[in-house]
Amino acid sequence: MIDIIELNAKIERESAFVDMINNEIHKSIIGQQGMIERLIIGLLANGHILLEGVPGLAKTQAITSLAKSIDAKFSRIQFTPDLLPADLIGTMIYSPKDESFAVKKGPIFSNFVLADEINRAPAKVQSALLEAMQERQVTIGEKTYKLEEPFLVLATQNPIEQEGTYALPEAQLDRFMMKVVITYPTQEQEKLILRQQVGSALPKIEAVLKPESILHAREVVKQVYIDEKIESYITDIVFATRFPENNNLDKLKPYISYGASPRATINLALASRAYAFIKRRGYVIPEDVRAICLDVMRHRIGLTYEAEADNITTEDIINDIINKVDVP
Amino acid sequence: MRKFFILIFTLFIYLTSFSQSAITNLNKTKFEIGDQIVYSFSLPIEKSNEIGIYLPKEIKDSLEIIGQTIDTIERQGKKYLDIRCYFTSFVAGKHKIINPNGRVLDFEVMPFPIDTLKIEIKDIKANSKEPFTISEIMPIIIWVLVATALLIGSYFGYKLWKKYRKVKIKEIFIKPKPKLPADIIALNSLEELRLKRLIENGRTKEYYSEISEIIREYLYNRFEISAMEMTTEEILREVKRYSDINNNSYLLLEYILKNSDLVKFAKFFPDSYISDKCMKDANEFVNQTKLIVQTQEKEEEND
Repeated sequence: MIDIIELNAKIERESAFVDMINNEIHKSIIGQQGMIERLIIGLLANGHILLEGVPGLAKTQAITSLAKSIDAKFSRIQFTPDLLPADLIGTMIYSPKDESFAVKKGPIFSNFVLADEINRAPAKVQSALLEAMQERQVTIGEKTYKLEEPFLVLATQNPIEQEGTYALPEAQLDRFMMKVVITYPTQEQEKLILRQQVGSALPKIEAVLKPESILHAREVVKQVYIDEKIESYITDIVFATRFPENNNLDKLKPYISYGASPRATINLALASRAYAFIKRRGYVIPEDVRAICLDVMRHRIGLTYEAEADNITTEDIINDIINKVDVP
Repeated sequence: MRKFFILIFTLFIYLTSFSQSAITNLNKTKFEIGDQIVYSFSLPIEKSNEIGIYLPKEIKDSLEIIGQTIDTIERQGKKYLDIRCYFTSFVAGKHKIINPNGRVLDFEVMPFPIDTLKIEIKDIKANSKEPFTISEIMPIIIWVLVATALLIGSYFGYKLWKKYRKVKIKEIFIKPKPKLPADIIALNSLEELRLKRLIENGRTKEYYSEISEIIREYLYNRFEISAMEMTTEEILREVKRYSDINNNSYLLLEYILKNSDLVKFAKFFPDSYISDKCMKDANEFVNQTKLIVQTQEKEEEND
C-alpha cells in the first residue's frame, strides 16, 4: 500500500537538488524555464533530449551549464559533414613501441554528450551516436565498452539553414525522449540578458551535484505513483494520434500519416513522473501529462502532404487531441 | 496553249527534213467554238519512209485533234502521203499554226453568239421532297419523353415535398422539453450520489470521480467552460475570469477538485469528514454560483 503523504514528503526531500541545479543554470541563462525543466526531466527519466531552435537561444549554453552544475564528465562534439563515426566513438591506434593496437576512446565516453548541430553530420555518424544512445554501449574493435551512467545525450539542431544537412530519420528521432522547441525570450528577459552579458563577468557555475545523486534521484522518480486513470489518459492520447476518428477528430485523419509509437506511451509516462517529481509531487496528475505531451510527441507523429499543404504542424494535431480527450 | 505549241514543235521536228516538199493548208481561217477545221499536208512518199509520221490525237488547251486520216495519193505521177488532221477549239481568240516550212497559218475561233433577250427564263426546279423516316424524328420523340418524365417527376416531387413539409411543421409545433437549469441538474446529481452511499461501501475513488464529474459538467452547463477536457489547474485558471465566481466560491471549487485529484490519482484515502465536506462544498458552490433569474413580477414587487 502506498502512503501518499509519506511519499510526498520523500519526494519533497529528494527533489531539493532541482532548485540547486536551477539556480546554477540561471546564473548564465535568463528565462527558458521550460527548456531547463525539460533538460532536468531528461536527466531524471534517463531520456535523451533534442533541442531545436534558431541560433542564439542559448541551447548550447544551457546544456553546458547543466553539465557544469553536475560534477560529471562532459564532452561537446560539433557535428560537421566530414565527421566520422570513429571521431565519436573512438578507434584502435597502432603503437609501434608495443607493436600492438591500443584503444583510443572517443568523446562519447562521458556522462553528458552535447551533440551540437546533430543534423550536420552524415547518416553513419548519426547512426553511431543513436546506437550508442539506445544500447548505452560502444564496440571498438572486438571489445564492447559500457557507457558510464548517467549517460545523457543532448543534441541540438536549428530549423533554418537546412542546406547541406542530413535530417534525422523518424526512426532515429523516436530515440529521443523529448524534442524541445525553444522560442525567443520575452522583451523583459531580453533586457536582463543584455544587462548580464554586457555587464561584468558571468558568475561561475559550481558543481552542486554528484553523478551518483542523479542515479539515486532516478530511483526515487521510479516511485512516483501513476494511477490507472493516468495510464488510461496517456494511452487515450497516444491512441488518438493513431485513430483520431475514435475521439471525434475525423478532421485530423487526413493529416496523420502515422501515429505515435508505444515508445511514445512509455516516454510520456516516464517524463510525466519526472515532471511530477520536479513539481515536488509523489503522484502524477493530468497536468503533468499535458505539460510534457507536446515535447514527447511532436517528433513521433508523421504528417501527410495534405497537412503540409494546409500548414498543419504536429503541434496543432497534439493540441487538438489534448483538448478533445477527456481528462480523468 | 503550251500543249498547242508542243504539237507545233513536234510537227516542226518531224517535218523539218522535208519542209521543202510538204504542202500544208487549213480549210478555214475563222470558225465558231466547237466547229471543225481541217489541217492537211502532203509529202512525198519516199520521205515518209525515212521519217515516221506521228501526230498526237488530242490537244486539250486551245486546239483539240478530233481525228486524222492518212492516205496515199498520186499527183503528177508522183506519190504523196496525204495527212489530214481534224481540229476543233473551245477557246475563243486568234491562234496560229507555224508550218514546218515556216509559213504561219492564222485562224480565229469566234465565240458562239447568244442573244439573251430572246431566251426564255425559267424558274429553278424546286428540290424534290423525301418522305420522313423514324430516325429523323427520333430527337423530337426523345425530347417529348424527357419533358413528360420531368413533368411527372415534378408532380411527385411536389407531392413528397408537401408531405415532408407537413411533418416538419408538425415537429415545429411539438413543445420542446424544458431544459433543467444547470444548478438543478447538478444538485440532483449530487443528491443521487449521496444516496448511493459509495463512501460507506468503500468506493471512495468512484465517489470523488463522480463529484468531480458533476462539478465539471455544472461548469460546462452554467458557464460553458469545457471542464471535461481540462485539468484542475486549467479549470481554476479559467474560472478566475468569471465575476459570478467570487473568492469564496473559488476556494470551495479548489478544495473539491484538488481533493478529488488526490483521491483519483494518488490513492489518497480521506477521512469521512473530508468526504462530507466535499459533498457539502459542492452543494454550496453550485448554490453560490447558480444563475438567478429575476422575473418582472419580482422586480415590480421590489420597486
